[in-house]
Amino acid sequence: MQIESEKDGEGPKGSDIARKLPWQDPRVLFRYKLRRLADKMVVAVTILAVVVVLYPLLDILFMFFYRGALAISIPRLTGLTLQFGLANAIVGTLLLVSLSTIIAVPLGVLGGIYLAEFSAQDQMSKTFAGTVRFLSDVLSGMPSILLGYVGFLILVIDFGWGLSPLAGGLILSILMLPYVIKTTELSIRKVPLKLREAATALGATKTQMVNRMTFPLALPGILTGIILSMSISIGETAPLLFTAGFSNYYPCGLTNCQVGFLTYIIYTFAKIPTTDSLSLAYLSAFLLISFSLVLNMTARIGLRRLSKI
Amino acid sequence: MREESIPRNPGPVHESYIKIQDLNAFYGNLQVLKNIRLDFQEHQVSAIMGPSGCGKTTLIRILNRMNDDVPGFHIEGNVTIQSLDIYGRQVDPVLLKMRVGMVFQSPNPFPFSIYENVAFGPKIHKLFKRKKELNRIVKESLQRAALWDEVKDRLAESAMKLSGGQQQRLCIARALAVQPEILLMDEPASALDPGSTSKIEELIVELKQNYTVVIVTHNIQQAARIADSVVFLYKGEVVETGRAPTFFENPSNPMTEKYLSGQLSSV
Repeated sequence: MQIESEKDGEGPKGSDIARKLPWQDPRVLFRYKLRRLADKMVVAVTILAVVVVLYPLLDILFMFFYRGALAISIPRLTGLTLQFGLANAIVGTLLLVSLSTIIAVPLGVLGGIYLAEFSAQDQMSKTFAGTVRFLSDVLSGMPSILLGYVGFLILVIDFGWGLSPLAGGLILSILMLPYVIKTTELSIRKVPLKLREAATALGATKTQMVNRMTFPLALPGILTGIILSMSISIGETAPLLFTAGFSNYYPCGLTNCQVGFLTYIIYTFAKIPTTDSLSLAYLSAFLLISFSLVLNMTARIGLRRLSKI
Repeated sequence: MREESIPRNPGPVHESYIKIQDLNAFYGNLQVLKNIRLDFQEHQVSAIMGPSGCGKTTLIRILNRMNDDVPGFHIEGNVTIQSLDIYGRQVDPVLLKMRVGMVFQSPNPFPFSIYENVAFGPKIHKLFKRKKELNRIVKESLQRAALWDEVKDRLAESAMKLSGGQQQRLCIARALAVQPEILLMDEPASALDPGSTSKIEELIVELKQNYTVVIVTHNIQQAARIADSVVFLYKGEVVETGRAPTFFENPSNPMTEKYLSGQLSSV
């Protein structure tokens, strides 16, 4: 916008200058232009940051999808590792994730409900709940290989389960727990106070309120958390090296029976420079990323649509 | 929890339906209600008025113990409904809420179907044996809330699709479905347009035949249209109480006069 600027020399007592409004003052306009410039620079820097992060990610995704898709073949999908196939590892990964989900979901969801609904009743339970929240946060930041080692000492050796699906699944479930607890608590807390008051005013007890209103309303959010935590546990390797071992055959039992899984295939075969080995590693990566993408998209697109609050 | 228990005064039954004696209410150290003494009569609409922050909402929420869970909230004094001390040890706050229903300022239907909203109360209290009985309760409640004709063909639709005024009448139906004796209404029309407001007002006047209504409002015209008796609260104290026409035409307290003429700003 072009604004007529006043001539500097003209009498400062002139009524025109005395009435000059802020938007007519060239100094104000100059400072505004500086601010506008700073604004644009901030936007440019943030866009650059996004590109820096996204480019490698897309590059990696593309490479694995491309190489992985090239490696798809019936024998590789249905054969055992011995015959350069992934069938036993696919079954093993699904078994481990199912076990960990079965263990983590009831504990985590009930824990989250407790933290959100029943922990504010007196000072003692408040302190207890605060401690649980803190420990759960610590757990979510703990290096997973340490949990694997703990699992090795306690489950594999002391309990005598050996390297096994149960030991691996239990350790994975401990990794999932903090996420399930946190998303459950947050989803339940998102149910607005005015709905809680409505239920209370109708004479609902706390349990009835949770069963009939808060929990159903929070369910899409809770399921989202569960699914995301499953996709985290699908990608774990380190703790499983300590607890699940590896096997070239199908799983043979819950304890004292080593089990194969997809991340181990990548860990091992990506280091062997033959076409067969590399193809197997790429296909394995392709499958893992696909599982993860499907789970994430289910959570983000499918479940958000169900949400009523 | 009340610390000292004031001996219950049997008194003549139905002398006044709701009786508040020497009530003081606190949030922590902040006293929000001072020495309230009030009587509300059966089958009447009693309006509580006053500028924002005067304690109207606190007072009405005391009548069904909605504030029990508010941290730091406590009361001294005595509140009786039909001579029953509602803060007494033998009173279960959940059962009390069955007798004293509540409608809130902004419509708060559950994001379920219209039917499920009304059925919520009867379901948690198991007020029916067969589905047919539940259907009847839902229908009657919606009829009493003057909503039946508008929603009878779409009971399975989400309550969130209703207009604000319809949602508020749904909330009234939901409260009626538990078959309370008293209905508390906290500025039930303040979030609604004039058309919906007048529907709610008509409804309130009808409801008093079967229920005792206590309503909070800061709309003077509204109180004049629907109330049988009026309480004027200012800074946590009762300034004046009176029968409806006299209160508005001839207030005895100069403060009330100031309020009615719009010269009293909020606290």
